[in-house]
Amino acid sequence: MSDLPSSFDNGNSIDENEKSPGYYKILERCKEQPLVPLGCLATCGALILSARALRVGNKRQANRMFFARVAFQGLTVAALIGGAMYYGQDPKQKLEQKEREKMLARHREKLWIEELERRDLEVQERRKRAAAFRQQEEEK
Amino acid sequence: MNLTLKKFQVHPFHLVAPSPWPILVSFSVMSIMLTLVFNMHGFMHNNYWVVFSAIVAIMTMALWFRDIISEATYLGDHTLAVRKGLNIGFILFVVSELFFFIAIFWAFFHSAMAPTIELGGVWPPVGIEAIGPSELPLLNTILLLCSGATLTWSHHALLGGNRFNTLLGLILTIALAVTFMICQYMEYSNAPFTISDGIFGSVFYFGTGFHGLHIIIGIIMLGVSLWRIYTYQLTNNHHVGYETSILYYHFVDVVWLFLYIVFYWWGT
Repeated sequence: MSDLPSSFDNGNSIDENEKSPGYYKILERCKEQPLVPLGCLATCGALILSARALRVGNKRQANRMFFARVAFQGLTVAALIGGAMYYGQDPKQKLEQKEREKMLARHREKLWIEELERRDLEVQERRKRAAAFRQQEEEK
Repeated sequence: MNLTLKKFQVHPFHLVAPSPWPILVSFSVMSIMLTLVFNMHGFMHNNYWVVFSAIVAIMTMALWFRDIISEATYLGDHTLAVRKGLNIGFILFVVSELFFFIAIFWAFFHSAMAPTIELGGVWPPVGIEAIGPSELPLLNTILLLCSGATLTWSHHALLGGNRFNTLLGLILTIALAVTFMICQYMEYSNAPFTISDGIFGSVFYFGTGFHGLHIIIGIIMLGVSLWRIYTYQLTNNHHVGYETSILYYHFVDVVWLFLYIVFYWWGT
């Protein structure tokens, strides 16, 4: 991604989410199933604690933490599947979500085409100015 | 007094003897890197050299590890202080692996968070039929979870001095990991996209492929541990190699959790 200023930067968006639909999607899924990110954190925590226990040489504690790691991961996957089954039951909501995503994609496409046309116009104007300048020089 | 002191080591550290392996491994790893770069730039008949350098790297690594194992098992060089050093070294290695996987996820998020216009503004890109989170990936998740459980059971049995359960748990773990690899192979061969289709395929195979490679390395490490437990090289209070293999395997397992959530569940 370039750091050049773009016409996307100001005031064209229908809402903030359209800048990064992925970010919005993640947030929505986390809100839908808060147990999944929590479970991920707990799994990582258990893994870090087990590495720490190994480092200080406490083998039993390490084993307990490995156990906790497997348990947390199992719960996370269970929460994930449970949540997916629960939310999967509502096809209308799913359809709305899909429609929304499609709408956002179309909007982004439109903005992009407008941006390209703007850039094209700029290039054409620059060419025109250059041609006029050249003619002026020749006439001199 | 001086004569006696010379016969004894007055510190707990292991001063390693001169060894050819560090420099040889460095050169062979560098040649893997170089030949892979040549391959990616389309050099002809270069595959032989990739395979050749990989074989040299694996051979020198195996010889180096053989030396370490004989120092540990037969020479008794691995004192408590040395074991601590080995553990810290391995944890640092796992941290470097962690950042490697963070880079992969970064590549994924970079492309998926704000899909470009060339992808149709959506993720997965228009025309790409992504692999959903149910069916095979779900089975894979359960397989890896089970292998984590059997591995923990094996570790627990080793600490409790139960030889049979240790070996059984470890064999089950390796069997489950191999099954995972077979399922992954099936998934790859039935996938409706390839690594060179575009960003989706590239980043998907980048992530899952490197995870698979790490599972293979984990299987090798656990296999060596299995052999060393079977031959009584590892005991219930001295088993650094097994501990580090367990840590590694659990780490790779946690990476799969994130891969599953991000690549299969969220990314489709």
